[in-house]
Formats: sequence, structure tokens, C-alpha cells
Amino acid sequence: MSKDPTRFTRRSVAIGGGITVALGLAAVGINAPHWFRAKTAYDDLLDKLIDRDAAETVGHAIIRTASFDTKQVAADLRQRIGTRTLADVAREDLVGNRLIEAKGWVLPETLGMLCVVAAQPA
Amino acid sequence: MSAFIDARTVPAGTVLEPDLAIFGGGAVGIALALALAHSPISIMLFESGGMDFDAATQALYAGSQAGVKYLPLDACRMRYLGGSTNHWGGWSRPLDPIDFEKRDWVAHSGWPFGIETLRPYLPRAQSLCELGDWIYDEATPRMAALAPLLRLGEGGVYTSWFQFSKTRDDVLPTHFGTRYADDLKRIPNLRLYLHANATALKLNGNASGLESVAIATLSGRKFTVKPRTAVLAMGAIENARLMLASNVGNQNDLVGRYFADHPIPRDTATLVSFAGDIAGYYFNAGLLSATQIRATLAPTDAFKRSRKVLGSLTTIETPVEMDDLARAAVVTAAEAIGADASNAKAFSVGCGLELEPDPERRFVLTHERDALGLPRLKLINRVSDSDFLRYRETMKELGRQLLAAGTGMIRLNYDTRAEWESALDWGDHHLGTTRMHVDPKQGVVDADSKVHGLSNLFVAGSGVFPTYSASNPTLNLIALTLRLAGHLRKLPR
Ligand SMILES: Cc1cc2nc3c(=O)[nH]c(=O)nc-3n(C[C@H](O)[C@H](O)[C@H](O)COP(=O)(O)OP(=O)(O)OC[C@H]3O[C@@H](n4cnc5c(N)ncnc54)[C@H](O)[C@@H]3O)c2cc1C
Repeated sequence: MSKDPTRFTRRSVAIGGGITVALGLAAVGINAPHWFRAKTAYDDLLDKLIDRDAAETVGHAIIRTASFDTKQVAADLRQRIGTRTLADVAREDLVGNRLIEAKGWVLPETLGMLCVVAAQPA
Repeated sequence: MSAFIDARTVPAGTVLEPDLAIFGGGAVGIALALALAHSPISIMLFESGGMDFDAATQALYAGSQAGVKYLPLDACRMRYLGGSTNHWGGWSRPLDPIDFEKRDWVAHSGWPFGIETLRPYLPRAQSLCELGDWIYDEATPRMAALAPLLRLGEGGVYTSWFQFSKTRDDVLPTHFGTRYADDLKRIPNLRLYLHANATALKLNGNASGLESVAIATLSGRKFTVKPRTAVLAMGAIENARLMLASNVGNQNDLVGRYFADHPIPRDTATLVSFAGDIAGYYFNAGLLSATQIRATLAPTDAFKRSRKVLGSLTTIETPVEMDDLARAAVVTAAEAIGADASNAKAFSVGCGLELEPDPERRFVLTHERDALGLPRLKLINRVSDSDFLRYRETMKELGRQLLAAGTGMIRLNYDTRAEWESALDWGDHHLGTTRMHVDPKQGVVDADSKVHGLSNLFVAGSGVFPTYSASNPTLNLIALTLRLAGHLRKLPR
């Protein structure tokens, strides 16, 4: 059976515990404004986000309840998005009912994962 | 026009022998009496209260509870002529066809018949509730022409409609007691007794039928009714109480079980409209052809089937402030899907939920007694996690559809059971205590609302609903009562 490229791998998403929550909270509020940001290994992905600060805030809300391996998430995202636009992939997520919650906010999964990368790019 | 009779003036020891005795003068009792007006049947209706609220009479309703917090039993219904319609909200919506089906994902679900059996009686029920023209989901194109509907992507949630009971002018909704008092007085074959409490049901020698019913007043007067046929119309809770206290119809230990109401958790979600304002008919009842109508968001039958959820009716309530995360989520999502959210506004969302039938959510008798000597009830209340989770699925689908249409998004406000319970209110819709089923082992009454094993005792009202729907019950229970009236007309006298 071939791997579904639209699914995030098990390795990249794991339900997290209290430690992640604490780290996530500590990170909120210390983000540098967009234009001062240091380069990251994920800028090819993060450049798809128009408001990276907002995405970071959303990402922190997501990592409060689950822990993610950024490297793996990014690899999954690259595979999933390919050369397409974020809008196209988000729409595809919505049609395919691939959703993620950020403290209850219902989002297309790919967008949520981009936010996770934005929140923990190091 | 003949006046109502004050039961406190009936000589003690009197034995009354009507063709039909109706116990309870609420929506059901009144609808039944009106439906049988001018028939050859002699009818007596016995109502516990008078024409107005009276604290001592109301106190007969008091009881206790355990489990998930419910409303005080003497505060979630009314005990005088008109019953709980004396303070109902008038929200109305017919049951959906799927509500009658046996759904393999809903334990104990299914009615003995489909909506087509109820349908012929709905127009008259609609008229008794003074709901205006029958519009409901036919309102969609007409309301959309006035102001745009909330645009949703293809999926499982759609805009449906409530209608509201309206008495006349600005008096709403219909209080059945005051509204129909004069009509009842004009019925030549009806005698209506006020302050008359049914306190015991007595079966005949071989327990094949009801022989008599004891009536008592709070002033101490006692007399007996020996009807050919009787209908219990005291509301779902009190019908079960009298049957339990009299040990009638409970051979299979079903009376009082399967109780349900519609949980109304407040502020279950935050709905953001990217464009800002939403049509007013989502927030308040508006007028369409002189009919009060309000939009609600409901799961389609197909969605209920495919995702194994239950019924729910979601309403958009009041504007709410957005916090930092809300703003971030809105900006991020709108930008990603190419929507303009510069005027976005957020609104709180409310709902009424259908519960899965549960035999352990039930009323039991206690050793405490009321002023007339009847054992008081205790409610053991439960709501399963899956009832909340299923609604969450529906809300998530709504969120998906909003994003897919580029019109908005949703935040689901509750995750844990504690959060759901802390926001829980109830609809005061008492359902299921004397459920209907063709099999006596699974239901208290048969498909005609007759108590299994008894030839002449019927139960009416939403207590017989075997599966509940999310729709408000009164329109539907009146339709069911009118069906019963048709049946009673044919009984031998
Ligand atoms: C606050 C509130 C809001 C509601 N809002 C809505 C709504 O918006 N939409 C909707 O569809 N439904 C609503 N309902 C429910 C609606 O009121 C009931 O569905 C309807 O009244 C049920 O009719 P019934 O005749 O079965 O019971 P009731 O109307 O409760 O009537 C029972 C009658 O029996 C009498 N009685 C009780 N015990 C005895 C006895 N031992 N002997 C003789 N008589 C007795 C009582 O005095 C009462 O008059 C609401 C209820 C409440 C309390």
C-alpha cells in the first residue's frame, strides 16, 4: 500500500504532555517581529505565511497539547505542498476533512503544521 | 358556555363515570379535549392547578436529583391550567424523518412508525401552537432574498429554521390555559375540573385494565373517577410518577427510565464571520408572512448517518470580543485561503442537543411524600461523553464548511467533560419516561400510546418519545396527541 502523502507521519505528531505545554507557554511573547527574524532552515515553508507573528501565536496554541518534531513536520510539509500554493493545499485539506485545532480554533491541517514550524523553527 | 368546576366543591366520595378521563390540563390535555369536542364521547378533564400559579400546588412537583446537575423539579414545569406552556419559549420545529428511524449508531433508537404517520396531524398542531404558516425550511430562499444566508461550503451542516408560537399582537407565545379557556368552556361534552389531582391509579381485578383513579384536592377533598378510557397527560415526569407510585404499567421495569431533555450548553463555540455582520435572522426571530422565524444550523440527515452523530440545533447568539489568539487564528486562516477578514466579527454560539436514549437516566420513587401523600421523585441524571463529542464533531464540520466557503471559522470552546458540564443548561423538554415500543419489554406504551397489557389506559406527551430528536417537542407531541384523539374517537363506548 502506498503512503498517503497528504497524511502527516506518526513520527511528526505525538500527543504531548505537560512539559511541552510549559515550554509552549514560555515561548509566547518572546518572538521577534517578522522583519528582524534570523534565517531558519524552514524559510522556504515559512515564507508561505503572510503574517508569521500570527502564525507563531497559532502554532504555540497547537503545541500546547501535542509535541512535534519540527524537522519531520517540515519534511512532511515539503512533500505535501510541493510546488502548489498554500491556498490550494488548505482547500484540499478542507475537502478531505484534514483539520487540526489550535486551542479549539479549527484550521486546515497543513496550515496548522506550518504554524507549528513557525512556533518552533529552531 | 359552562364554567370550569372547582374540585374542592365536589362532594367527598363522589364517583364520576365519564367515557374518557384526561388527567392533566397542559398542552396535551387541552389539545386532546379540543380535538374531541362535539364528539359523542363524554369527557372529563382533571387539572391539578387552577387558572393561576399557586405555590402550594407547584410544590407538589418538588423532588431531588443525583448525577449531572439538572433543574429543580419544581422549577422546570408549571402546575396550573396550560401546564408548562405558561412559561414555554414557543420555539418550534418538526421532527426530522431520521428521528423516527432505528439508527444503528444510537442505542435504543427508533419509533414504531415514520414521520408520515405524524405528518397529517402537524398542520392542526401548528395552528394550536399559533405558529403561523407552515414554512420552516421553505424559508431558506425567501429569507436569503432579504439578507444573505451564512455561506457554507458543501457538507454536513445547513441553515434550518425555527418558528415561534405567537398568541396575538405582541403577546407570545401561546399560553394554552388562558388562550383556550373559553373554547374549552364551550365544549358541550367536556367537564373540566380545576384543583383536581390524580393521586392513584387502580387496576381491575385481573389487572387487564384501569378501574378507577383517585382524585384529591389540597383542601382535603377526595373522590373517584371510573372512566371507560383514561389518558395520562400530566407531563413526562408526573405521568411516570403516578404510574410508579401506583405500580401500573411497570411490569418490565421501564417506567421512569430513558428520561431525556435537551442539554443546552452555553457558549459552546465562537463563530467568526470574516465579512463581519451576519443576517439578523440568525440572532433573533424575524417576521416572514406574519410568522416568527429564526435560523438555526443543523446537521443534515446524511451527515448524521455518515458521521454517526445525533441531532443538534445551533444558534448564533451575541457578538463577543476576540482575544489575541482569536485574531491570530483569523488572520492566519483568512490569509491562507485568500479571504478578506479585515472586518471580521466573532459571535458566541449556543445549541440544543439530542441525547442518546439511556435506561439509567431515570426517575425513581423516594420515601419522601408530598402534601397529598404521593412519593416524591428523584432524578438520576447522566450524560455520556459521546453525546458531547458527537456535537463537537458537528461543530467541527461547521468550521470546515465556513473555511471552505471562505466566509469564516469556528473555535470549539469545550474539550473536557468538566467544561461541558460547567456550561450546561437544559431545555425543560421532558422526554422518554414512558417510551413507545411495539415490544412490551422495550416500551411502556404501544404504537397507539396505550399502556402495554392494559385495555383502556393511554399516555400522551413527549414522555412516549422513544428517540428524542433535537427539535423542541411541543409541536410534535401535540401532533401525536391529535393522532391519539383520532384513535380514541373510534373506541367503543
Ligand atoms: C421554561 C420552559 C420553556 C419551554 N420552552 C419550550 C419551547 O420553546 N418549545 C417547546 O416545544 N417546548 C418548550 N417547553 C416544553 C413545553 O412546555 C412542554 O413540551 C409542554 O408544555 C408539554 O405539554 P404536556 O401537556 O405534556 O405537559 P404540561 O404542559 O406540563 O402539562 C401538564 C399538566 O398536568 C397537570 N398535572 C400535573 N400533575 C397532575 C396530577 N397529579 N393530576 C392532575 N393534573 C396534573 C399540571 O398542572 C399541568 O397543567 C418549555 C418548558 C418550560 C418549562
